[in-house]
Amino acid sequence: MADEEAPTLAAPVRLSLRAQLTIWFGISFGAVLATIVGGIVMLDQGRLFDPTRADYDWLIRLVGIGTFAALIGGILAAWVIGGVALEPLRRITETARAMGPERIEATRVEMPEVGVEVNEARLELNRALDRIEAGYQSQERFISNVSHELKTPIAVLLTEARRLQLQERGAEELSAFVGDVAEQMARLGKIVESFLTLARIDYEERLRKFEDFWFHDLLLEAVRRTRAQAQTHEVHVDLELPEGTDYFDRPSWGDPELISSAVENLIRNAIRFAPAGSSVQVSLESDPAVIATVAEGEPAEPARSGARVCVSDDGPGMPEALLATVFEPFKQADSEEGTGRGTGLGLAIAHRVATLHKGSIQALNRPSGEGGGRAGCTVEVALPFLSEQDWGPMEGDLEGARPTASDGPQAGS
Amino acid sequence: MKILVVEDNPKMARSIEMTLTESGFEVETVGLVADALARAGQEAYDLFLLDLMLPDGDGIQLCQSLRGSGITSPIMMLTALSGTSRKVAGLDSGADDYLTKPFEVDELVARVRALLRRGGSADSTRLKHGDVEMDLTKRTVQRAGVKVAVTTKEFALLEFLVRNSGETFTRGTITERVWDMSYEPSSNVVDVYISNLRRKLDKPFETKLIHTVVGTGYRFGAADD
Repeated sequence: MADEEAPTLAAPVRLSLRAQLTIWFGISFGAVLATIVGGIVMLDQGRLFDPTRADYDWLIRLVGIGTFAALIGGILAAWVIGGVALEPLRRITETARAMGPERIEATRVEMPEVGVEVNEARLELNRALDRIEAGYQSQERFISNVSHELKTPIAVLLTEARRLQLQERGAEELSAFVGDVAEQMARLGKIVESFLTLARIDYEERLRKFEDFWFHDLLLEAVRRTRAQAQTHEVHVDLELPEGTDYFDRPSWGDPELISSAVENLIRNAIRFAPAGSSVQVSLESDPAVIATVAEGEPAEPARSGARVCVSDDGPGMPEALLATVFEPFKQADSEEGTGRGTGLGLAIAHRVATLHKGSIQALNRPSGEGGGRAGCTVEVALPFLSEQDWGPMEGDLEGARPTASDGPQAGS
Repeated sequence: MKILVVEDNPKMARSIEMTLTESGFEVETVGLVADALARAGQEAYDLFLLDLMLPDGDGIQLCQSLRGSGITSPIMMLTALSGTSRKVAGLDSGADDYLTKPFEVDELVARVRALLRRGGSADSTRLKHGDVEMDLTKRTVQRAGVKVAVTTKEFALLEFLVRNSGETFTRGTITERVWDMSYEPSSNVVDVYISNLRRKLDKPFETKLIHTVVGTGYRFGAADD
């Protein structure tokens, strides 16, 4: 009887898991009891039903009532145990029902520790919530930083302009204001440009309007664009290209404008921290690992070979704590914060551009020869040579092909 | 030196006009494609500054029309867009340079001066020296009928050398005039670019065209120049 009832129970009738468990337990427990009773009857060889053996009556009653009671008791127990076992699930459901973006930090699954499996599920769920919360927070931070960055120059200029309008002003005061306007607007322009670049990275990721580009040209362009800033800071920008090789004759495939603006950002950053009169070194190298495989006569996988761009300055270096987080938007050295010099987006852009092109980026302090101090900071961008085919089909999943940051060549420090 | 500025935003137009006037240029401003074409038909300008987005058309088409009507003066595009494809379209349509808005005033003046100095850059779409042929619109190079693949910056270097063949240039002059960069003596950019050009253009051929002038710099041309 158990086998025939099963299919009709499970699928069409949407019973609760608790009811299903109870029914299943009832059926199997019933079968066990029936087997026991049947066994007793068989062992007894039918004497149980012999009307002449009146002394068996009490036994019949005992077995009958006992079996029935056991069945009912078992089913009740199953119902109760099922309820208890499913309690964590109910809690999770309740928590999920209360969950929302506006109170994500207050929503975590809380319950007593009832068992390893349940506990693990709860912990993993809470960890997932932690990650989502962190994501939300960084986004919130980003937006509040953005609005601060955009609104400040507007507020500064508007307040000052309205104040100046109140009465006749002398030429000196007005020309000071004009100076402010130029400075604040230049900054606002830079910030807006940075945001647009960030937005364009997402757009490129989806549309991939890419073209051939050459690393030499790209670096030349990046250095050229920083000329004015370098002159203002009295810093030399030395571009060092690899000599005597045709390694870079072939093009790579991507968005040259994004990459050169990423390198430009790195150079601008380096210029800001470099002491006057010093040099910012920009260099291009072929990836040494690839050269090695070629030298041993192994045909190198073209897609695996790459280029490394290094931008180094002789500045104070970066605080160790900042090295790991410096590629997040609006992370700046303390000395820079509030100075209104950097936008706090340059390195974030460089990072996203490198990742978009399946490369990696890292910042490191060069140890100085004596005393273990810092001799300056180097930012390394490793980019593989790509061809149009490397990007795969448009709707394809990029995740599998994209190396993580740690896949990039690590420079010993 | 007469410049026609085609820009529809009156404040922007006035600002550009004043900047260029104060730098000693004679400037006229129009706001429409139709007006620009009419003015260009009546007067000879030494340079055109075109905004990319205009009320009755776009700068790229205007640029093509100007080139189509035989005008060879340098054309510079002004654009608020910073997308690659747009820039490429600007240059392919026959423009000589572009500037992204917002731009620094001195940057504009410097670029205008550079274009005027280059002068007849657009007077011919082909440049020839011996068996080297350059197509300036398609940006292609051939030597003895064989196509030589060069990058944009290599092309600019070669164009400069071909135009000034026979003259010797220092690394500093090349960096400043070809790529508009400041020259750093410790940088090897010029040497690397020259050696790349040599590998592509000279190596497969008997006659060497790029010569090192010891202690000075580089010279382009057949040896007996």
